Amino acid sequence: MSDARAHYLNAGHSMRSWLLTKDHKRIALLYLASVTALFFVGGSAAVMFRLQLLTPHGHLVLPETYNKLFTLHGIVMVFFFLVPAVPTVLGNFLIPLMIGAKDLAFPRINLLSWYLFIAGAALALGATLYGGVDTGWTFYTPYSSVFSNTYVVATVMGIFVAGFSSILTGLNFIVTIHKMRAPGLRWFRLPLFVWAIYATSFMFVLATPVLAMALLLVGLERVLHLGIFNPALGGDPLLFQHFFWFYSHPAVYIMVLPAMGVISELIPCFSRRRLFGYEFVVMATFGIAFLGFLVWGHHMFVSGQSAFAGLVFSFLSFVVAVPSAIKVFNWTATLYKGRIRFHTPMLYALGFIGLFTIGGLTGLFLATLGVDVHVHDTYFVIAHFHYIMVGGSVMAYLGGIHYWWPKISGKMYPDALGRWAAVLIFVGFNLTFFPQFIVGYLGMPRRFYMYPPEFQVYNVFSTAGASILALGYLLPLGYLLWSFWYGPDAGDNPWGASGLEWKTSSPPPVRNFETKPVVDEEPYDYEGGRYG
Amino acid sequence: MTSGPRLYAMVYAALLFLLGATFVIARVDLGAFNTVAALAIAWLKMGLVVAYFMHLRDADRLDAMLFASGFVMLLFVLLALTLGDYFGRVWLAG
Amino acid sequence: MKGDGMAESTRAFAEQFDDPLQQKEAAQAGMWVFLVTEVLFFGALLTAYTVYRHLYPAAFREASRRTDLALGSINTAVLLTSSFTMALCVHAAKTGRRAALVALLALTMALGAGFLAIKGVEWAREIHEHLLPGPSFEFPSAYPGEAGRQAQLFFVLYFVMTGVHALHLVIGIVLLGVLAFFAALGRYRSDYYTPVEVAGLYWHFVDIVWIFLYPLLYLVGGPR
Repeated sequence: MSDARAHYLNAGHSMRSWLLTKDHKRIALLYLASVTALFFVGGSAAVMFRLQLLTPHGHLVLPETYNKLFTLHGIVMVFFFLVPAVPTVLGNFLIPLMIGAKDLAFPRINLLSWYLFIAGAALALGATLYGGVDTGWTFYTPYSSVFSNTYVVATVMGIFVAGFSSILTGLNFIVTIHKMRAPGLRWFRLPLFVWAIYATSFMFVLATPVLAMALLLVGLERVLHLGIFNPALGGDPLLFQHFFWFYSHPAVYIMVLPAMGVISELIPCFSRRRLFGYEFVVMATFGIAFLGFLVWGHHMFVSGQSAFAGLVFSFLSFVVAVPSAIKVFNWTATLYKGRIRFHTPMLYALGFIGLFTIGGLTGLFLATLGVDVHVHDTYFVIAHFHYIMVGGSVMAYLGGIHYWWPKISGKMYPDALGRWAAVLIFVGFNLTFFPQFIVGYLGMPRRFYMYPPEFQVYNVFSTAGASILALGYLLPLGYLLWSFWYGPDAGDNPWGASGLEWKTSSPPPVRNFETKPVVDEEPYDYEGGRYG
Repeated sequence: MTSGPRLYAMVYAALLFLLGATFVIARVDLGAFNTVAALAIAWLKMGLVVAYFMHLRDADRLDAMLFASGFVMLLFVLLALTLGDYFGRVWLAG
Repeated sequence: MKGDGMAESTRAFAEQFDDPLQQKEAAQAGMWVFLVTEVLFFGALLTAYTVYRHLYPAAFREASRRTDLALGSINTAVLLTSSFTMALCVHAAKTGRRAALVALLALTMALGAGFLAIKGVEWAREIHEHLLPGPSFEFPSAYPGEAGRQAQLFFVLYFVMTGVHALHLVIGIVLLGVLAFFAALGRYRSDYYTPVEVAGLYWHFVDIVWIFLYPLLYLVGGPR
């Protein structure tokens, strides 16, 4: 930070200036540090159980520990990394910049959201330190509410508290996007990332409270021995599953919609083309957000849910594939005849398209009632949702971090190294998870700490891939941190990108823009000669 | 007259009247229609509070849209699809 | 949920906004979004209620007859009255009558506290009658077998629903107390009273929740 120009990073160096900041950009960095740390916590758990699964009768950990490890992995990765990652880091940093505002509408509530997130994470991780939870991230009743002898209540309360962080973040984004757009920034000129965060925010606000209430009831049932979801006392455990998946299926779209928003920024920029079918992508975003609420029952096909509900949910699950496919086609069409530049962010974007497509298509297998009976609760499901969540969300998150890093830090990272890391992650990912499709199809169930010897070869592939993946994730951590202090200055718009965030300096000043921006161009105007 | 004490008093009187009505109707045995009537009156009361006390009539279109989205989600998604399962257990039993 | 950034500055609006109108609209929209969340929060409970009532209609009818209809009805009237006085609060703020605003806020808080007191009496009575779910729960029933357990589910939902509602009311009363304090200091003027308006939205919503709880919990028993 040797330059004399004032910006948000050199506006104060004390601990206090960070921990009590109301600047959305600094809060974004607080989130960046927190979710990165949590990502590596969740990742370490994965490394442990992948090592356990290297041999059919692995003796690395006890069965009880194994249960706690995959539970920890699921809870941390879903609730404390994937759900918040893109909205709270990139969304927080970019939404005001992209719409030409000075900050979010409620900066103090924004800071409160971060503290709630930290408090929730502390509760959940504290429970882990005390001995952990073994219910799986799904907390199915009555195991979670009656039988499990682990720290369910503390964990559940952690997620409850973090849920309010999500809700308040969503609230802040909805109001900001509605009320604080720069002059000339009509709805259909908004960058698709803003649209994606807007739709996601609605899902935060509408889905999270149902999970919060469901977890509250589990906690009450456990502490006071009530029978809300306990069949022995007249309750129905399937009702918990309905509530849980009413949140947790939309949560998949909470994870992937912002990722799609990132991809919709990267593809036009590095193809130097206007995004194909902008309006359709907007509509598809809302199609996914709404339809995503109607499909939760496909997690319950073999649960004893009525055949009628299974039929309805199966049909609706096929419908939700349509808007997702529209997006994939639009990105692909944008690439067509584009002048493609293979910088690091673009490699992540291209990886996303391929992996998301595989994840989405295998989702259709699972949405088919008959097929699901066969592969339900096998590694086929694990592979499917990791293709969406890691191949999709994490790839896009990393792509976004690399794309906006020059804006966030003002510095450039070594692009060649970045490309190597992207390739490493892509290869490691496929090596980890593709064998799981096969071994799942062959019948290996999820959540077991041992397996028949004939499945070993696939598990060896998986574990080998996981180690490559781990290396791939450590690389960006290293070179991004290095570049933050020692990297060359990036300039205000190193990618020649459209969008208001690139029209201010890097790093941006505290109030984002020296003068209030006025928008007079259509989105992604890469062919209009403005961006070379 | 979109707001003001006089209007509020009228709305308040209407609310108390509806409370009385729902109380009286509940004392008459109408079978399943007891619930229908009670809920219809509750919706009516909510409509009065939302429209007049909360000024949704004069508010931004956005605010109205937001509020409606909550009820759409609750009634047509959470409630309807969940109940679809429970009713379905009877329809396609066996 | 007051106008954010407003508290310690003497400026007419917080610095992230362009003008006071933008700030006012943002605060209102923010509260509406929050209420949407609340709809779904209570919505989960209402769904649980609907499911169990669908599964156990007879037990729910019988259990509902054990609630205190008279006190429940009086309480509904108390809460509706508090909504009326809350609407008058906003009007007093809008017309810049400081003394009236403080008095009406205090009256609204008193009505809220009255509601909680009556609710407390009801709860005490129900606990005394062994209707609190748990080991002490007793439900002599005309129906043999499962009815006791099913009635207990009604009371689980009854206590959770009324409990969560009461918690919201406590928060509302505290919120109005803060507003009354600042109103007495003269912070709200006819051109700036957004916090009163936004708190009013919250208060009315808590009232609406009760408008639905009342028939679902007290009236489903049919004629007593």
